[in-house]
Amino acid sequence: MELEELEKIWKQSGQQPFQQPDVEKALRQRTRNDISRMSANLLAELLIVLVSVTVVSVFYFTALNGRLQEISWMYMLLAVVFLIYYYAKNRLLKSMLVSIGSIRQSLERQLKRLETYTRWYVLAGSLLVPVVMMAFYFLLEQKNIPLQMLGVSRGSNSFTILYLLCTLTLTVGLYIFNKWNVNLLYGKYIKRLKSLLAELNEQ
Amino acid sequence: MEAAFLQLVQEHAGILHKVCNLYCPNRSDRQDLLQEMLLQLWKAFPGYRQEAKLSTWIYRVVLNTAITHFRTEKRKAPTQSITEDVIMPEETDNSLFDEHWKMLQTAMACLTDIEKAIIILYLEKKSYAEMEEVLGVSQGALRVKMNRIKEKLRQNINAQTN
Repeated sequence: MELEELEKIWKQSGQQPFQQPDVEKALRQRTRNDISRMSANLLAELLIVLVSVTVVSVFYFTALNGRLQEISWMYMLLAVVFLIYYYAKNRLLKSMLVSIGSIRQSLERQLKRLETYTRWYVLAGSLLVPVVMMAFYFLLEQKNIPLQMLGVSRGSNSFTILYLLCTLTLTVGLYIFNKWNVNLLYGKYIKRLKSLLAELNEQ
Repeated sequence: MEAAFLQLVQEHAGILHKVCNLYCPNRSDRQDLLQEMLLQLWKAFPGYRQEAKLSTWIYRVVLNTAITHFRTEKRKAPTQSITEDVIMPEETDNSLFDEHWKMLQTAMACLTDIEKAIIILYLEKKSYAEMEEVLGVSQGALRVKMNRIKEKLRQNINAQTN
């Protein structure tokens, strides 16, 4: 078979009576494209955060006769921030779903947006631990609540160093986890976008 | 808008089917891709400005969908699909057509998604200017790529024949 034959087959195929797709039904049903899957992951993330925040908030509302209620409010504030993030991210994903411009423009737009988003995701997710830990520390100081870590009481220099070490370890741990999670959720898609763009740019 | 969209799909159903057939070897993936293309066309339809030829605009949307929004994968169980009423031409009784399509698919199996998009536009007799509009690649680069694709196809066809 030669190339000309392919052209002939292609031409003939255009004259075939194609069955009409059921457009209404197709538009009603759920899709399984990559971006829809990312939206589903995002929703799962939101649910996990909301459930966790609820549990933690209830705990701090009741622990130590409610002396740590401020932490509950802080967590609720974080949940509100996450809701804003969810809204923004969802909008970004929806905008990525619409094909505007050439294939190259579409790929570049998607890649740029996803890379910016994942950078912020890792940064914000990692900063969460030191912010919460520091706020927790100052709250303990302010309310003069006794706390012990590995047998060292709050107030001593050893406790502060231990607390800082713990914060640092958790921050690094969360950073590594966020990197891994981002790679798991979006890594393959970003890699594919990059390879498609590289192929388009290849001379 | 709905009636105009339905008419557009009716008139250009062939483009959708042909692209689906070339990008997805498996039937349930084809149905999913067809659904995705219809959805993308529906979303993009209000933005169609008639600056581009309608068929070029359709190719831009459907190829964009096939390349960027959709990835075929092995699945354990078939997902929900748009059922038997959205079928491809090979489900009709035209066995010769079926055979020809299989030949076409086999010949093009060696191509990447981008190369498939280029060859589809070439086979549709689109000019290099239109191909540039769809792909966003300069005409010079497209000519080079087209030569490579032709060579790749020739080699693949010869390998199949021998």
